Amino acid sequence: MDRDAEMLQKMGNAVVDMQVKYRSSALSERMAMKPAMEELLNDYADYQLRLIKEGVITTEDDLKEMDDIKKEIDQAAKTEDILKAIAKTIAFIATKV
Amino acid sequence: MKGKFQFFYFFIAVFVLVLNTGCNREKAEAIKMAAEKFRIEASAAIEEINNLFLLSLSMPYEEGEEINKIALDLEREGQIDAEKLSFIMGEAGIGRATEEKVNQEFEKIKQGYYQFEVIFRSFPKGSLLAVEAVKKAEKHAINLTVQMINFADFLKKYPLQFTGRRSLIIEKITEAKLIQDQNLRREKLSLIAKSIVQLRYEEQKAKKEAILQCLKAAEAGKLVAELIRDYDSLSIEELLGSIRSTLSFIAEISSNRDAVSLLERYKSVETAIKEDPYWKAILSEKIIK
Repeated sequence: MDRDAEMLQKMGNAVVDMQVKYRSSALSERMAMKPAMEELLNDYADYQLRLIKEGVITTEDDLKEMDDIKKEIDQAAKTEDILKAIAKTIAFIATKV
Repeated sequence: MKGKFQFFYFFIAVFVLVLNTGCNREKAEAIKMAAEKFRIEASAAIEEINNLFLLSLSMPYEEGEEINKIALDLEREGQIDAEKLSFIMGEAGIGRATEEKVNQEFEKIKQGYYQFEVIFRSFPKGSLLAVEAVKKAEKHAINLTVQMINFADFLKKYPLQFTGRRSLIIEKITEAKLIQDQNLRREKLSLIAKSIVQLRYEEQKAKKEAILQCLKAAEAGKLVAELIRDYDSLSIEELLGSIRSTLSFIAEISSNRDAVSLLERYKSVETAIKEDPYWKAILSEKIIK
Protein backbone atom coordinates (compact mmCIF):
# COMPACT_ATOMS: atom_id res chain seq x y z
CA MET A 1 0.00 0.00 0.00
CA ASP A 2 1.55 3.33 -1.00
CA ARG A 3 1.49 6.41 1.22
CA ASP A 4 -1.61 7.92 -0.41
CA ALA A 5 -3.52 4.66 -0.08
CA GLU A 6 -2.52 4.45 3.58
CA MET A 7 -3.57 8.06 4.15
CA LEU A 8 -6.93 7.44 2.47
CA GLN A 9 -7.48 4.36 4.64
CA LYS A 10 -6.70 6.37 7.80
CA MET A 11 -8.98 9.24 6.76
CA GLY A 12 -11.80 6.80 6.01
CA ASN A 13 -11.35 5.23 9.45
CA ALA A 14 -11.37 8.69 11.04
CA VAL A 15 -14.65 9.53 9.26
CA VAL A 16 -16.23 6.30 10.52
CA ASP A 17 -15.08 6.88 14.12
CA MET A 18 -16.22 10.50 14.03
CA GLN A 19 -19.62 9.52 12.64
CA VAL A 20 -20.09 6.97 15.46
CA LYS A 21 -19.07 9.53 18.10
CA TYR A 22 -21.28 12.20 16.54
CA ARG A 23 -24.37 10.03 16.40
CA SER A 24 -24.01 8.85 19.99
CA SER A 25 -23.70 12.42 21.30
CA ALA A 26 -26.41 14.59 22.81
CA LEU A 27 -28.00 17.39 20.79
CA SER A 28 -25.89 20.26 22.14
CA GLU A 29 -22.69 18.23 21.73
CA ARG A 30 -23.64 17.45 18.11
CA MET A 31 -24.24 21.15 17.50
CA ALA A 32 -20.68 21.83 18.64
CA MET A 33 -19.26 18.90 16.65
CA LYS A 34 -21.04 19.61 13.37
CA PRO A 35 -18.44 22.03 11.87
CA ALA A 36 -15.63 19.53 12.56
CA MET A 37 -17.71 16.71 11.05
CA GLU A 38 -18.36 18.77 7.91
CA GLU A 39 -14.68 19.71 7.69
CA LEU A 40 -13.51 16.11 7.97
CA LEU A 41 -15.91 14.98 5.22
CA ASN A 42 -14.74 17.86 3.07
CA ASP A 43 -11.04 17.07 3.60
CA TYR A 44 -11.64 13.39 2.86
CA ALA A 45 -13.44 14.32 -0.39
CA ASP A 46 -10.65 16.73 -1.36
CA TYR A 47 -8.03 14.05 -0.82
CA GLN A 48 -9.93 11.55 -2.96
CA LEU A 49 -10.55 14.15 -5.66
CA ARG A 50 -6.88 15.15 -5.73
CA LEU A 51 -5.86 11.54 -6.32
CA ILE A 52 -8.41 10.86 -9.04
CA LYS A 53 -7.60 14.17 -10.75
CA GLU A 54 -4.02 12.94 -11.25
CA GLY A 55 -5.61 10.64 -13.83
CA VAL A 56 -7.48 13.48 -15.57
CA ILE A 57 -5.52 14.45 -18.65
CA THR A 58 -8.05 16.51 -20.58
CA THR A 59 -7.53 20.22 -20.00
CA GLU A 60 -9.63 23.35 -20.51
CA ASP A 61 -7.66 23.91 -23.73
CA ASP A 62 -8.64 20.44 -24.93
CA LEU A 63 -12.32 21.22 -24.37
CA LYS A 64 -11.94 24.44 -26.32
CA GLU A 65 -10.14 22.64 -29.14
CA MET A 66 -12.89 20.00 -29.32
CA ASP A 67 -15.38 22.83 -29.64
CA ASP A 68 -13.36 24.33 -32.52
CA ILE A 69 -13.20 20.97 -34.32
CA LYS A 70 -16.97 20.65 -33.99
CA LYS A 71 -17.44 24.10 -35.57
CA GLU A 72 -15.13 23.11 -38.44
CA ILE A 73 -17.13 19.93 -39.08
CA ASP A 74 -20.44 21.80 -38.86
CA GLN A 75 -19.12 24.24 -41.46
CA ALA A 76 -18.11 21.36 -43.75
CA ALA A 77 -21.61 19.91 -43.40
CA LYS A 78 -23.14 23.24 -44.45
CA THR A 79 -20.76 23.50 -47.43
CA GLU A 80 -21.61 19.98 -48.55
CA ASP A 81 -25.30 20.81 -48.31
CA ILE A 82 -24.71 23.78 -50.63
CA LEU A 83 -22.69 21.63 -53.06
CA LYS A 84 -25.43 19.02 -53.12
CA ALA A 85 -28.02 21.70 -53.83
CA ILE A 86 -25.83 22.94 -56.71
CA ALA A 87 -25.51 19.35 -58.00
CA LYS A 88 -29.28 18.97 -58.01
CA THR A 89 -29.69 22.24 -59.89
CA ILE A 90 -27.09 21.21 -62.46
CA ALA A 91 -28.70 17.82 -62.91
CA PHE A 92 -32.04 19.55 -63.45
CA ILE A 93 -30.55 22.00 -65.98
CA ALA A 94 -28.78 19.11 -67.77
CA THR A 95 -32.12 17.47 -68.47
CA LYS A 96 -33.33 20.70 -70.07
CA VAL A 97 -30.21 21.44 -72.22
CA MET B 1 -17.88 25.47 -76.99
CA LYS B 2 -15.32 26.14 -74.20
CA GLY B 3 -18.16 27.06 -71.87
CA LYS B 4 -19.90 23.75 -72.61
CA PHE B 5 -16.72 21.80 -71.68
CA GLN B 6 -16.32 23.74 -68.45
CA PHE B 7 -19.92 23.00 -67.57
CA PHE B 8 -19.38 19.31 -68.41
CA TYR B 9 -16.28 18.97 -66.19
CA PHE B 10 -17.96 20.82 -63.34
CA PHE B 11 -20.96 18.52 -63.68
CA ILE B 12 -18.68 15.44 -63.59
CA ALA B 13 -16.82 16.80 -60.53
CA VAL B 14 -20.06 17.38 -58.62
CA PHE B 15 -21.40 13.98 -59.73
CA VAL B 16 -18.24 12.27 -58.36
CA LEU B 17 -18.60 14.27 -55.16
CA VAL B 18 -22.18 13.09 -54.72
CA LEU B 19 -21.21 9.45 -55.46
CA ASN B 20 -18.35 9.57 -52.93
CA THR B 21 -20.54 11.21 -50.35
CA GLY B 22 -22.72 8.09 -50.12
CA CYS B 23 -19.86 5.78 -49.12
CA ASN B 24 -18.18 8.37 -46.92
CA ARG B 25 -21.42 9.11 -45.18
CA GLU B 26 -21.74 5.48 -44.11
CA LYS B 27 -18.19 5.53 -42.74
CA ALA B 28 -18.88 8.83 -41.01
CA GLU B 29 -22.08 7.39 -39.52
CA ALA B 30 -20.01 4.48 -38.18
CA ILE B 31 -17.56 6.84 -36.44
CA LYS B 32 -20.42 8.90 -35.08
CA MET B 33 -21.99 5.75 -33.66
CA ALA B 34 -18.67 4.64 -32.11
CA ALA B 35 -18.19 8.09 -30.51
CA GLU B 36 -21.69 7.89 -29.06
CA LYS B 37 -20.97 4.42 -27.63
CA PHE B 38 -17.75 5.79 -26.10
CA ARG B 39 -19.65 8.63 -24.41
CA ILE B 40 -22.33 6.26 -23.08
CA GLU B 41 -19.79 3.82 -21.59
CA ALA B 42 -17.60 6.62 -20.19
CA SER B 43 -20.59 8.42 -18.61
CA ALA B 44 -21.67 5.18 -16.95
CA ALA B 45 -18.13 4.68 -15.59
CA ILE B 46 -17.95 8.24 -14.24
CA GLU B 47 -21.35 7.86 -12.57
CA GLU B 48 -20.21 4.65 -10.88
CA ILE B 49 -17.06 6.32 -9.54
CA ASN B 50 -19.10 9.36 -8.45
CA ASN B 51 -21.44 7.03 -6.59
CA LEU B 52 -18.52 5.28 -4.87
CA PHE B 53 -17.25 8.67 -3.68
CA LEU B 54 -20.69 9.57 -2.32
CA LEU B 55 -20.95 6.25 -0.49
CA SER B 56 -17.58 6.95 1.10
CA LEU B 57 -18.82 10.35 2.33
CA SER B 58 -22.37 9.54 3.35
CA MET B 59 -23.57 9.94 6.91
CA PRO B 60 -25.15 6.83 8.44
CA TYR B 61 -28.85 6.53 7.81
CA GLU B 62 -31.40 3.90 8.71
CA GLU B 63 -34.90 3.79 7.33
CA GLY B 64 -37.40 5.29 9.80
CA GLU B 65 -34.81 6.24 12.45
CA GLU B 66 -35.14 10.01 12.14
CA ILE B 67 -38.36 10.50 14.12
CA ASN B 68 -37.17 8.25 16.96
CA LYS B 69 -33.86 10.11 17.13
CA ILE B 70 -35.55 13.51 17.21
CA ALA B 71 -37.98 12.31 19.92
CA LEU B 72 -35.01 11.11 21.99
CA ASP B 73 -33.29 14.49 21.58
CA LEU B 74 -36.44 16.33 22.70
CA GLU B 75 -36.71 14.10 25.75
CA ARG B 76 -33.05 14.42 26.78
CA GLU B 77 -32.46 18.06 25.96
CA GLY B 78 -33.65 20.78 28.35
CA GLN B 79 -35.09 23.90 26.75
CA ILE B 80 -35.39 23.78 22.92
CA ASP B 81 -34.78 27.24 21.47
CA ALA B 82 -34.91 28.46 17.86
CA GLU B 83 -31.23 27.64 17.25
CA LYS B 84 -31.64 24.06 18.45
CA LEU B 85 -34.81 23.61 16.42
CA SER B 86 -33.03 24.89 13.30
CA PHE B 87 -30.20 22.46 13.95
CA ILE B 88 -32.60 19.52 14.33
CA MET B 89 -34.41 20.48 11.14
CA GLY B 90 -31.19 20.88 9.13
CA GLU B 91 -29.14 18.02 10.54
CA ALA B 92 -30.02 15.63 7.72
CA GLY B 93 -28.19 17.96 5.34
CA ILE B 94 -24.80 17.35 6.92
CA GLY B 95 -22.15 16.73 4.25
CA ARG B 96 -24.51 17.87 1.47
CA ALA B 97 -22.19 20.71 0.36
CA THR B 98 -19.29 18.26 0.05
CA GLU B 99 -21.46 15.84 -1.94
CA GLU B 100 -22.46 18.68 -4.23
CA LYS B 101 -18.81 19.59 -4.81
CA VAL B 102 -17.97 15.97 -5.66
CA ASN B 103 -20.92 15.77 -8.09
CA GLN B 104 -19.78 18.95 -9.83
CA GLU B 105 -16.23 17.65 -10.26
CA PHE B 106 -17.47 14.45 -11.88
CA GLU B 107 -19.91 16.39 -14.04
CA LYS B 108 -16.96 18.39 -15.39
CA ILE B 109 -15.10 15.19 -16.26
CA LYS B 110 -18.22 13.81 -17.94
CA GLN B 111 -18.54 17.00 -19.96
CA GLY B 112 -15.32 16.17 -21.83
CA TYR B 113 -16.86 12.95 -23.15
CA TYR B 114 -20.08 14.74 -24.19
CA GLN B 115 -18.05 17.37 -25.98
CA PHE B 116 -16.08 14.67 -27.79
CA GLU B 117 -19.25 12.94 -28.96
CA VAL B 118 -20.82 16.20 -30.15
CA ILE B 119 -17.86 16.74 -32.52
CA PHE B 120 -19.18 13.95 -34.75
CA ARG B 121 -22.90 14.84 -34.78
CA SER B 122 -22.81 16.58 -38.16
CA PHE B 123 -19.88 14.59 -39.56
CA PRO B 124 -22.04 12.33 -41.80
CA LYS B 125 -23.45 15.44 -43.52
CA GLY B 126 -19.99 16.86 -44.20
CA SER B 127 -18.13 13.57 -44.51
CA LEU B 128 -16.20 14.54 -47.62
CA LEU B 129 -14.95 17.91 -46.52
CA ALA B 130 -14.54 17.34 -42.79
CA VAL B 131 -12.00 14.50 -42.86
CA GLU B 132 -9.08 16.74 -41.91
CA ALA B 133 -11.02 18.25 -39.02
CA VAL B 134 -11.92 14.78 -37.75
CA LYS B 135 -8.24 13.76 -37.77
CA LYS B 136 -7.66 16.50 -35.20
CA ALA B 137 -10.07 14.71 -32.85
CA GLU B 138 -7.84 11.64 -32.73
CA LYS B 139 -5.62 13.10 -30.00
CA HIS B 140 -8.67 13.69 -27.81
CA ALA B 141 -9.95 10.16 -28.37
CA ILE B 142 -6.64 8.79 -27.10
CA ASN B 143 -6.46 11.14 -24.10
CA LEU B 144 -10.02 10.39 -23.04
CA THR B 145 -9.31 6.67 -23.41
CA VAL B 146 -6.14 6.82 -21.31
CA GLN B 147 -8.12 8.82 -18.73
CA MET B 148 -10.49 5.86 -18.34
CA ILE B 149 -7.54 3.48 -17.83
CA ASN B 150 -6.16 5.88 -15.19
CA PHE B 151 -9.51 5.89 -13.37
CA ALA B 152 -9.60 2.09 -13.34
CA ASP B 153 -6.08 2.13 -11.92
CA PHE B 154 -7.13 4.65 -9.25
CA LEU B 155 -9.95 2.34 -8.17
CA LYS B 156 -7.60 -0.64 -7.97
CA LYS B 157 -4.97 1.26 -5.97
CA TYR B 158 -6.99 3.19 -3.41
CA PRO B 159 -9.34 2.02 -0.67
CA LEU B 160 -12.87 3.42 -0.65
CA GLN B 161 -15.05 2.62 2.35
CA PHE B 162 -18.82 2.89 2.61
CA THR B 163 -18.34 4.95 5.77
CA GLY B 164 -22.01 5.44 6.71
CA ARG B 165 -22.68 1.72 6.61
CA ARG B 166 -19.51 0.91 8.52
CA SER B 167 -20.53 3.39 11.25
CA LEU B 168 -23.92 1.71 11.59
CA ILE B 169 -22.24 -1.67 12.06
CA ILE B 170 -20.01 -0.27 14.83
CA GLU B 171 -23.10 1.21 16.54
CA LYS B 172 -24.84 -2.14 16.40
CA ILE B 173 -21.81 -3.96 17.81
CA THR B 174 -21.70 -1.51 20.73
CA GLU B 175 -25.42 -2.03 21.38
CA ALA B 176 -25.15 -5.82 21.14
CA LYS B 177 -22.24 -5.94 23.58
CA LEU B 178 -24.46 -4.31 26.23
CA ILE B 179 -26.98 -7.17 26.10
CA GLN B 180 -26.77 -9.17 29.35
CA ASP B 181 -28.35 -12.38 28.08
CA GLN B 182 -25.46 -14.37 26.58
CA ASN B 183 -27.55 -16.28 24.03
CA LEU B 184 -29.33 -13.18 22.81
CA ARG B 185 -26.01 -11.31 22.63
CA ARG B 186 -24.46 -14.11 20.56
CA GLU B 187 -27.46 -14.18 18.27
CA LYS B 188 -27.21 -10.41 17.69
CA LEU B 189 -23.45 -10.54 17.13
CA SER B 190 -23.88 -13.40 14.67
CA LEU B 191 -26.34 -11.28 12.65
CA ILE B 192 -23.88 -8.38 12.71
CA ALA B 193 -21.11 -10.72 11.52
CA LYS B 194 -23.28 -11.56 8.52
CA SER B 195 -23.82 -7.90 7.75
CA ILE B 196 -20.03 -7.31 7.94
CA VAL B 197 -19.43 -10.05 5.36
CA GLN B 198 -22.25 -8.63 3.23
CA LEU B 199 -20.79 -5.11 3.39
CA ARG B 200 -17.33 -6.39 2.41
CA TYR B 201 -18.91 -8.15 -0.57
CA GLU B 202 -20.84 -5.02 -1.61
CA GLU B 203 -17.82 -2.72 -1.31
CA GLN B 204 -15.68 -5.07 -3.41
CA LYS B 205 -18.46 -5.65 -5.95
CA ALA B 206 -19.10 -1.92 -6.45
CA LYS B 207 -15.40 -1.28 -6.94
CA LYS B 208 -14.97 -4.16 -9.37
CA GLU B 209 -18.00 -3.10 -11.40
CA ALA B 210 -16.65 0.45 -11.64
CA ILE B 211 -13.24 -0.85 -12.80
CA LEU B 212 -14.88 -3.03 -15.47
CA GLN B 213 -17.05 -0.14 -16.62
CA CYS B 214 -13.93 2.06 -17.01
CA LEU B 215 -12.32 -0.66 -19.12
CA LYS B 216 -15.44 -1.02 -21.27
CA ALA B 217 -15.26 2.72 -21.91
CA ALA B 218 -11.53 2.48 -22.65
CA GLU B 219 -12.21 -0.22 -25.23
CA ALA B 220 -14.89 1.94 -26.87
CA GLY B 221 -12.50 4.92 -26.88
CA LYS B 222 -9.70 2.88 -28.41
CA LEU B 223 -12.08 1.91 -31.20
CA VAL B 224 -12.92 5.56 -32.00
CA ALA B 225 -9.21 6.47 -32.09
CA GLU B 226 -8.50 3.57 -34.45
CA LEU B 227 -11.45 4.37 -36.71
CA ILE B 228 -10.26 7.97 -37.03
CA ARG B 229 -6.69 6.81 -37.74
CA ASP B 230 -7.75 4.29 -40.39
CA TYR B 231 -10.68 6.27 -41.80
CA ASP B 232 -9.14 6.65 -45.27
CA SER B 233 -7.81 3.12 -45.64
CA LEU B 234 -10.69 1.07 -44.19
CA SER B 235 -13.69 0.04 -46.26
CA ILE B 236 -17.14 0.41 -44.75
CA GLU B 237 -17.25 -3.39 -44.26
CA GLU B 238 -13.92 -3.38 -42.40
CA LEU B 239 -15.05 -0.42 -40.34
CA LEU B 240 -18.28 -2.14 -39.33
CA GLY B 241 -16.30 -5.32 -38.63
CA SER B 242 -14.10 -3.40 -36.15
CA ILE B 243 -17.18 -1.98 -34.44
CA ARG B 244 -18.78 -5.41 -34.19
CA SER B 245 -15.70 -7.02 -32.67
CA THR B 246 -15.32 -4.17 -30.15
CA LEU B 247 -18.97 -4.43 -29.12
CA SER B 248 -18.64 -8.16 -28.56
CA PHE B 249 -15.42 -7.56 -26.56
CA ILE B 250 -17.24 -4.98 -24.42
CA ALA B 251 -19.97 -7.55 -23.75
CA GLU B 252 -17.23 -10.01 -22.79
CA ILE B 253 -15.76 -7.48 -20.31
CA SER B 254 -19.19 -7.26 -18.62
CA SER B 255 -19.06 -10.94 -17.81
CA ASN B 256 -15.35 -11.02 -16.97
CA ARG B 257 -14.83 -11.79 -13.30
CA ASP B 258 -11.17 -10.92 -13.03
CA ALA B 259 -11.06 -7.13 -13.11
CA VAL B 260 -7.45 -6.94 -11.92
CA SER B 261 -5.92 -9.06 -14.70
CA LEU B 262 -8.04 -7.22 -17.25
CA LEU B 263 -6.74 -3.92 -15.89
CA GLU B 264 -3.16 -5.18 -16.31
CA ARG B 265 -3.95 -5.78 -19.97
CA TYR B 266 -5.17 -2.22 -20.34
CA LYS B 267 -2.18 -0.78 -18.56
CA SER B 268 -0.14 -2.47 -21.30
CA VAL B 269 -2.43 -0.80 -23.87
CA GLU B 270 -1.58 2.53 -22.24
CA THR B 271 2.14 1.72 -22.40
CA ALA B 272 1.78 0.66 -26.04
CA ILE B 273 0.10 4.00 -26.83
CA LYS B 274 2.95 5.87 -25.14
CA GLU B 275 5.58 3.89 -27.02
CA ASP B 276 3.93 3.68 -30.45
CA PRO B 277 5.69 6.15 -32.79
CA TYR B 278 2.37 6.92 -34.51
CA TRP B 279 0.48 7.86 -31.32
CA LYS B 280 3.56 9.50 -29.85
CA ALA B 281 3.69 11.94 -32.73
CA ILE B 282 0.09 12.93 -32.06
CA LEU B 283 0.38 13.21 -28.30
CA SER B 284 2.87 15.29 -26.41
CA GLU B 285 4.40 13.40 -23.49
CA LYS B 286 3.12 15.92 -21.00
CA ILE B 287 -0.48 15.12 -21.91
CA ILE B 288 -0.17 11.44 -21.12
CA LYS B 289 0.41 10.73 -17.47
